[in-house]
Amino acid sequence: MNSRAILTIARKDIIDAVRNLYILFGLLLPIGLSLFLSFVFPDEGEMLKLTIAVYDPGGSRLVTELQTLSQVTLRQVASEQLLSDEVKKNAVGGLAIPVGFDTALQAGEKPELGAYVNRRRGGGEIAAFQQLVDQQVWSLVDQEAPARVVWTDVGTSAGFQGEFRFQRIMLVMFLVMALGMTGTFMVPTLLVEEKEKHTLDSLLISPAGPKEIAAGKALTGMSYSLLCAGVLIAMNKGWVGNWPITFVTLVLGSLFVVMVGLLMGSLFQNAHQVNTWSSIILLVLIAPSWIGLVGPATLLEVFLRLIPTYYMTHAMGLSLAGKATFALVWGDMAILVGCIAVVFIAVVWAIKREGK
Amino acid sequence: MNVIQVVNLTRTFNSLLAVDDISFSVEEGEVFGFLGPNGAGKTTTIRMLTGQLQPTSGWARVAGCDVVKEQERLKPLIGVVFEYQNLYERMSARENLEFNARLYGVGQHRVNELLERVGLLERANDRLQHYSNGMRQRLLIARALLHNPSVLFLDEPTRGLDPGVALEIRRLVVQLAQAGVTTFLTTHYMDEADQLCRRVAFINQGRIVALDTPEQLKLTHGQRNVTVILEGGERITLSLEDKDAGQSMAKLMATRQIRTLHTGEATLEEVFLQLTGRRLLE
Repeated sequence: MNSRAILTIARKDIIDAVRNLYILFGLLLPIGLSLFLSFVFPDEGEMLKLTIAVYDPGGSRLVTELQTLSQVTLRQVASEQLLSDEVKKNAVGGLAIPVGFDTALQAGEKPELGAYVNRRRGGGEIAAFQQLVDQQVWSLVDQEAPARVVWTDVGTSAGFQGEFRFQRIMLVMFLVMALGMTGTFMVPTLLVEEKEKHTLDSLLISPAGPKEIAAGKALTGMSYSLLCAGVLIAMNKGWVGNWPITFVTLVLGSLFVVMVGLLMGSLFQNAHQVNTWSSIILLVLIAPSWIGLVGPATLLEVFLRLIPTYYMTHAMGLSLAGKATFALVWGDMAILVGCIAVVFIAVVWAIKREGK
Repeated sequence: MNVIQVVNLTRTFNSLLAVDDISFSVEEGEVFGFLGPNGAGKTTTIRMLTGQLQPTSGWARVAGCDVVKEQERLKPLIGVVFEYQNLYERMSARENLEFNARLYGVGQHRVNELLERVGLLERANDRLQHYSNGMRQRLLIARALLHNPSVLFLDEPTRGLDPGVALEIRRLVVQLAQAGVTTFLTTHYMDEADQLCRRVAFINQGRIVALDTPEQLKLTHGQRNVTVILEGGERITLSLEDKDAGQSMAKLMATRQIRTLHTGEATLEEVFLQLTGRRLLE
């Protein structure tokens, strides 16, 4: 491989890509949407009406605090068993507040707060409930993480258990969208444009061969996808949780979608084909990231597990929530690496086929 | 020394025989014309000689390199001006050349040198969207020459250009030939081939039907006659094969009534028509 040719092609494409208004629009769309949502819904948690069941034998101030919130409807129950039933039937979540909870908090201890969450509810509602519990408990005393919240799932549970906040769900969605846009739209457009304008012919008689051309386009795609991801993370204060895992997941995800883009660019001959197919493929690739919003559905998830971006979404969601370790997400990473290898082989095949 | 050597070169696309068993050679510094109508196999031949397309059978060497086995060695030795203006439209002329200079590992000083040589230095920073056809064509030639190739392939380099620009490009080809650059030229313009090429090959339906110097082709296939137009408009044609042609001409000259004289030498177009029954511009 001629590294000078790869870098030269990448440098040319990085400059040329943003002069193409369609590509520029595609790159900025996820960032623009994220910006738009942050203006329209500055705190999505406040937009939802939440029904919360409470078992509070000790008369905690937490309940008084929750009662002051207009978005919350509280249902007090007489036992922890009734709490679980109430959550299953009528509420998004429930709180089991132990006797002496307030006293323990004020003493600087970290008392246990039982939190039930109804997994049958939509992801946005669940996330808002979780965010509310975190914020409200924290507001009782002026210190970080005063209580140890123990979450219990009620109802059917899906793969994404636990720790999604609404903002994290949206961030994961926008990250997958940004990577998808770069991979399925920008990369094939760059390649197909070379075919349509016959500049590919002049590249092929230059010291750059098909491999260098593909690598140059891949490098451009990776650069833009990671740049967009970085901007989105910065905008959404997403550099939290286990950021090395987030970074590795983004690199693998970016490589995967770029490979998909190269395959599309090798198979398609004109911009019309790219425009038609890229939106369909993009929808498929970003579908797994919606699971946090639509809520878990077993059958749907079976299908979503067939899409490689499911594993990117899963690993990223866990790492943003600070719950991921390499031991926990290695399976996701391995599947992504496997998918990258498979698509890479397909790209090599498609380029060779084109050469004949 | 033969810089291009082609032996029994054949290329098929499924059942279509695009190039059919052609053989020829081109000497160093020669401008070689490859003439034929659309679809005759000219571009397919160029694509095989530049390593873009593999031959079905036969072989070819360009600048001492096997076009199939030694592509990496061949690439820096050839320059190609394609039949279409394949440039990056959103980039300036300078950016286009700088990109190619980096690809070939050529110093950036060559960019200015060539921009000046093709007369684009003043507009070098304009994006190509604002360039005329002629300016783009000059830029294509500059791009092909950037890395000092020893063999230049020109595929219809003056098609669609105004006469002034076409003349400039022809002058450039002559200068390059004088500097020892071997040029493989395809063109529809017979005058251009006549002016520039030391030898021309006619290709029709994938086969070479004639290959010689333009003069020899015209002599072999044309008629040797002179047409005299008198002041009254009368036209008299004298065959130079005729024994009395000289006397007849002297008599006509003596009358002092001659308005114009035309040699009846065949044009390359007529030779091609005679050989193939087809016109070049079909």
